[in-house]
Amino acid sequence: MNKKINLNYREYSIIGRDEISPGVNLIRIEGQIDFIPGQFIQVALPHIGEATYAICSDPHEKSYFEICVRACGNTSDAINRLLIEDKVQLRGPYGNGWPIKELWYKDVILIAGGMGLVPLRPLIFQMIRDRINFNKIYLFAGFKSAEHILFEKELKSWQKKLTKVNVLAEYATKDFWGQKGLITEPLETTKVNPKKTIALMCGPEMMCPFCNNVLLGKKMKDDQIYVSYERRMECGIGVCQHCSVGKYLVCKDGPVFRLDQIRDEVGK
Amino acid sequence: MQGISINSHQLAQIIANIAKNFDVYGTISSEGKLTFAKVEKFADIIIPTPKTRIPFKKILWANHQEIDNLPFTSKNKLAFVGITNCDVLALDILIAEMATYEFLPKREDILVVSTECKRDEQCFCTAFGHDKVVGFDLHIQKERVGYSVYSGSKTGNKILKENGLNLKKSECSLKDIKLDLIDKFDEKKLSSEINDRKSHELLWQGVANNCFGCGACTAVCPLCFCTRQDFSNKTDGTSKICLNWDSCFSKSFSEIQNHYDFRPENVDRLYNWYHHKFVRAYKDKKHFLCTGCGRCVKACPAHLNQHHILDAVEKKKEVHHEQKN
Repeated sequence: MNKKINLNYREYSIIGRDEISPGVNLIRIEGQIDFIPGQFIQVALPHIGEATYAICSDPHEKSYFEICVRACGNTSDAINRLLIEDKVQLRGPYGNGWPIKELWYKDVILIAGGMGLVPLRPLIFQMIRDRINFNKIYLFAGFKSAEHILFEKELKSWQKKLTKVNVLAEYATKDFWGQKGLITEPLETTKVNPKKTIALMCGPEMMCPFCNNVLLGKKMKDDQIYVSYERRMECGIGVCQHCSVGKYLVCKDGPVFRLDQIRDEVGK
Repeated sequence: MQGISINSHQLAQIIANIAKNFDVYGTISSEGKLTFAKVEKFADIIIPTPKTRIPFKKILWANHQEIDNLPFTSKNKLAFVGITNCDVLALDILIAEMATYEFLPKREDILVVSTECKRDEQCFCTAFGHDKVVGFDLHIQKERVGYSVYSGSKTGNKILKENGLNLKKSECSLKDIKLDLIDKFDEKKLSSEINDRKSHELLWQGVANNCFGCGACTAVCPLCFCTRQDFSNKTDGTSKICLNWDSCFSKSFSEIQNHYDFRPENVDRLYNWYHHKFVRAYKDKKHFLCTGCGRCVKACPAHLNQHHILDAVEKKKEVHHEQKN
């Protein structure tokens, strides 16, 4: 008999907040959650609402965890206004997370569009820690403009630890430290060994089909590409049906899907 | 199955005895209106039972329910008296869908006294092969003179015994459900045809062009249980998590941040409704979220006939839209 699932909230307090880009706060919460990189939690503020966030801190950090919140709705606005020592209710983690074992001894391409870097961040921490288990690691992080870049310091420090880090901004001035342009441009010029490469992708719905086309053009197959899908999440436990993607529910079967599972839904 | 003949006094007695131990809900006629509500007296129950517009869903899975304060948990003794066979099947499916959550009582904790149903032109339960009356604790059938009662479980046997009725004295037999001109669906085929949206795109587009997207079908369907999570804020300053019923036909259902909608067109939302009922549920639990009660057909203001749509998808033919004024 399965254990009964319910919406059990736990209370945590905020111990740090830092505005890392306009309207985006990195919120540090005291306590520990055992999670796999890519999993998400539901953060609730009584009276206001609930929203879904991917945990973005190092999974080995035992004293705190972090979420990255962009103000674009009722709940995220309110969370961004919270101060240190304020309380939040949360439940989770939910979802399947990134398929880390699939990546062992292979080349890995990480593609992040804007806030898509958030669920990939704990994976990057973990991959750097177990660097010996992975072959080449390429990171492509694209942003709207130079000032929208998230985790700038970390991106710079990862340049030494990963094989190649491409940071792109669609709009940027001449003195920008990264590259100007769209994410597909450096992706196209990267040499890929199609037999031994896995690509992980998280970003806006518009970005995925373009990147998929580039990767498929490099003779990679559908089953080598993983996409983390963002959908309207309400319950997180598979009752409410808001987050359906084709045959699957993001909260129960996702948020990470192999592209061949959801081929018809991409770009919708 | 064999049953016992009883007269209306005996039936009233049985129901009165059930009412002593259970909260009894059923199909009743209240002030001339047909409704599924709390049964106060036996005379209110209608046999043969017509379909109420809103099914038992409003009792078990209310439009607005607080999670800490759900209307029925396993502590309550709940009885549905006067419920049709299609609704009994729907009840089983709803409970099976919610089996891993603590939102609904178990099936064993609900006493189901089903009654003979009064068929109407919208019914299509036999299309899913539901031509036998099943799943009840007790079943009541109208006979030429009086009624006959059948037991389908140990609880049913116990209740009959308590009322002094002996099962061995069997005189009547259970009637099957017969509907004219309704072919049985091939479940696997239906599911796979609905899953294959591309080859039926024109059909779905045609249906969506006629559909108002009002969500009336979802409101009346006993197996439309999608919810939105919310907070109900009280005047005393407290706030409780609640589940509000939500229709997948509403535009906000699939909207994410920055008003990005991944089901922007009515055809996407309409298709999702069928996809959930006949593909996702079938893949997960091997049942459809439809028992063919026909409430959606009756409720549709655009006169869409969901049975005909399913038939057209399965048989790859065109839908004939009814033109009514």
